[in-house]
Amino acid sequence: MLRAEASTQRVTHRTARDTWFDHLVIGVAFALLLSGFRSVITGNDWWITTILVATLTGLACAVLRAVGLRWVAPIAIVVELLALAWIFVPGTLIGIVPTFDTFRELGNLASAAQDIIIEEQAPVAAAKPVVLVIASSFGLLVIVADVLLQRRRAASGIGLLLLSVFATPALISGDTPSMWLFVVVAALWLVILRSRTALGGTLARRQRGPAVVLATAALAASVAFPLFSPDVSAVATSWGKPPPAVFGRGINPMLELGQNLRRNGTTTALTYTTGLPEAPYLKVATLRNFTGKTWKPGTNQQFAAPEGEEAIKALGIKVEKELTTITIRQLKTTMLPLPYPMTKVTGLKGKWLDGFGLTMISTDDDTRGQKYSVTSLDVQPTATQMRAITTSPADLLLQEETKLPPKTPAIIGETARKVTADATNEYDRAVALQDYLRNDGGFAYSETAPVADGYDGNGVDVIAEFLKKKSGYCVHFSSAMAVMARTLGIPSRIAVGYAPGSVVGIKDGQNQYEATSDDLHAWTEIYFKGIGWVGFEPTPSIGSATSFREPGSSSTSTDGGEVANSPRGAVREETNNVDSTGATTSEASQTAPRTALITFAALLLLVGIPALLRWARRRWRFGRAGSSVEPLWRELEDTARDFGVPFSPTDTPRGFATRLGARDGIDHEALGRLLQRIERARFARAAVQEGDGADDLRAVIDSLAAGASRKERWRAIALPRSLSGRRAYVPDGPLQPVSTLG
Amino acid sequence: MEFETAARAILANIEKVIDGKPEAAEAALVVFLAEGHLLIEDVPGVGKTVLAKALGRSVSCSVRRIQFTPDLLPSDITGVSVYNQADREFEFKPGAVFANIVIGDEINRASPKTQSALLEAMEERQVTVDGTTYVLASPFTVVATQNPYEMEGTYALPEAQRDRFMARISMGYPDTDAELAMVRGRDAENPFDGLESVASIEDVQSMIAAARAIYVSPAVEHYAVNITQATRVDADLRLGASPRATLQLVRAAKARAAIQGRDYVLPDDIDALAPVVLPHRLIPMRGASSVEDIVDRIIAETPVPAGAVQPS
Repeated sequence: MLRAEASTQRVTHRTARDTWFDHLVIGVAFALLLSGFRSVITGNDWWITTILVATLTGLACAVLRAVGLRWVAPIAIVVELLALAWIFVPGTLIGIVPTFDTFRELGNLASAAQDIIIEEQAPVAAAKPVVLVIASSFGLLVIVADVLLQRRRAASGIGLLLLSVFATPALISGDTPSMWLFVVVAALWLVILRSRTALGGTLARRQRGPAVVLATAALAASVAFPLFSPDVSAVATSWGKPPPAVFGRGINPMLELGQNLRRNGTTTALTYTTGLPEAPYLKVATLRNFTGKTWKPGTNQQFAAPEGEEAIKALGIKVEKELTTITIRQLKTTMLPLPYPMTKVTGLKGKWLDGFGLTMISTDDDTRGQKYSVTSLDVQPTATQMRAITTSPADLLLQEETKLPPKTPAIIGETARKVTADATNEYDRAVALQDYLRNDGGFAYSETAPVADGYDGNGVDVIAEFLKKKSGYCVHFSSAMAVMARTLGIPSRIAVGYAPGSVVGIKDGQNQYEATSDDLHAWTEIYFKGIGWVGFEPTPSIGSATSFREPGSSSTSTDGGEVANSPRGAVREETNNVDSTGATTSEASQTAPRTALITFAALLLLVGIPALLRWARRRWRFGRAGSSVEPLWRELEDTARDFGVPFSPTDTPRGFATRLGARDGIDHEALGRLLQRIERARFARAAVQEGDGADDLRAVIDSLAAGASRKERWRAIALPRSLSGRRAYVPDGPLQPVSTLG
Repeated sequence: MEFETAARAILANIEKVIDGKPEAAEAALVVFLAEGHLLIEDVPGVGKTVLAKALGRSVSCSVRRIQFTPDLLPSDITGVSVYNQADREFEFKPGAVFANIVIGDEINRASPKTQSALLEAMEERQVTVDGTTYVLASPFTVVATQNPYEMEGTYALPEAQRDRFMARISMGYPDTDAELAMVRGRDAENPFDGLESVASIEDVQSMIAAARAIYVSPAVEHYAVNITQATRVDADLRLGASPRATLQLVRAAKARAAIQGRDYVLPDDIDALAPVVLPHRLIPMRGASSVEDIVDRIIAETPVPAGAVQPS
């Protein structure tokens, strides 16, 4: 009796420890996966908070399981809720009892988080609502994992859970997390898989070989897969409808611009009619603060305001006022597209703040369904007048617009000085930079090349790379020109908005233009004292270059007063328009079939993996048939399970064979020979028999397959049941003969 | 004579008189060849005594029958020393226990003192009367019967005594066909008339020796031990099986393997014999299901060792 009790205790003890071990492994995996969310949320505090909530929830689960209570999951959810309330809305708690306010506050935070998620692009700041969402999600994930772990066949569910958590940040931000993260988490999953599939005793040494080989192969295949598969972000953005929000509240409009341009579908953003001589660029946001990594809206709004009409006229420059009427179609943002510089906006619904001519921002409404009229200035200086303007740093309050990050690569400044060597004034320098990027430098327009070569974005390093590779899109061109101008001491900034669209009809005697999501654009603005900010177009094949009328040139010049003053009022030339869209579609059509093919091949591979693993296992076992009949018998058990004949470790070989023999069409003779072989091998004194039984096994398998329905056969091949579940029972430790007892 | 042939012949012989009960016949032969004792628990008239007699006749063994009654004395079992006037010395008159097969009918009707006299003989395989030890015949098997329903005025066997029986079987009623056949055949003649022995005492002794030599692999040994150990920790059982039970289980399994023509024991032998070897030794918790069901469940739940087991 003593012995029996001791052995029972040992077994229970090990089971308990195994569950703890699995919990621990999953916890580590989650903590690692959390690091993948750095591309979604900035900062570090959220990480600690999330770990805290998840740990508290996990501890609750563990304690409840240890005590042996039922209803673990609901209680754990309550614990998580309390933890969240304690961290996020501690004021509403009475002691630890949540009140009505607690739930209202948490609800408010959740809806605020929803707004942020809809409106902002990753990475978002670690605002309280966002942290609440991610912390509560991970808490719930812990509970789900805990529930899954109570199931005997939890491994596949856990794998799916880990994979989806791994993929989530990639789908949100388009940043595929590090391959090493994937490898480590996959390895942790294999650890769980191993501890889950071993039943009672450890795996026999013979079974370890193929298990390790299969696991290694699977790991290698899964590591290789991301290398050959298309970029996750490309797949993520091309699937489904484009999200309605285009510009958020300005966390990083530059990056989202690239994503929006690469989108496959085209939507009409807005239509407008204008009294301006040329269709204007419509500006949505102005980015002045260059951090070295990206462009951000500036902080000091007041000094960025445009010069007044009177100040410009005082310089003897011709200024006219014109009206533009804009109708928003499919564009959802809290910032209004406007021609620059505007003086008045009428017809808006809701409350809009005038951001000193930079932007119009609404706090409680968005652009959907808006129709409004904008009065804007048409400033028409001559080239001579422009050349005469100098901006000395002393009279500048524009520190933000001239600031360069400390580690600016030398190539930017060198290129800028080389290009502008012949110029003597700021206007000529700006035009030289524009022409270099647009025409002379040999740059090519491509929305996909930077992504493919890994320099998408707008930081200083990206610009240096762009100047070498000479391929990119408006984000690269505009930020390159702006930074180059700043290296020469010229104040510059970036405007983001819509390039002039194409003419779609005539309304009220004026051309009606349509701007689509393909017209999303970024361009450079240069400051000229007295005139204000003048737009330049460094991007090839979009709009046309900015240059002002030279004195003495014929007034019958084709372009009249201004030679296609593009960002201020240029028409996007038809030919160029065709070029740019043509390039886009041809590149898309090149990548689309490839993506589809690779995705299809990957799916096929994924679907085929079970069959492949099953085939490999069968082959391996047949290969070992010469030395032992055990692999053959295991193969028979597995095949039977594939065909729906259950196998249990409490089966004797004979009992199993009897059950199998009840199936239609089984080759009883071969089965009988195989049974005798395994019984002799396992239980007889000397197991010497002629032949290795492989033929008998083949005969039995063939007869089993022949007697099965077509559906059963397919199921056995594509989804072999034997790949999951339990193995035969092998007791721990060396076996002692019974005769030592009694 | 070859073991399997002889065994088949004996079984066939028994089945001539016991219609439609091959399991009972096999269990009886297994116990006989494993040198155990058999307890048959059933209502009267289902062929308990016939079974024992048929076995004895088939192997040309001596068979003696004791009808247990409350006034039966221990000396009736073991024998008694009687003073012989002619020789002027005590002469031993052997009791009923001196036979190869001893049938103890309604063993629970005798007083505990008489019961224990028989049970001691069963365990020791010898009796001591007046200081002299007499060795019993070999082979020696007691086939005791009990009526489980008529308990009035009986002395139930204590657990310790029940443990000495290798197996307990119940005959059960024959099915319709078997009973019909019995009615027709039995009416005309005494079935024992045509029953001839198919094996000699020497054959049986060599068969018993051969059964002892059957190989039991470590895997099967472990399986048997796991099953008996499981009875000791089972929540539904108040008393589990003793180590003697394990030993007898394996011994019986050896005999069964031999009867089926194998020189090694299969887990299936254990599975087949545990339901007759174990239940009468177990005491269930109050309100639990029957011990037979519990044993069946334990057999179904105990994993069978497979592969990678080397003899140690």
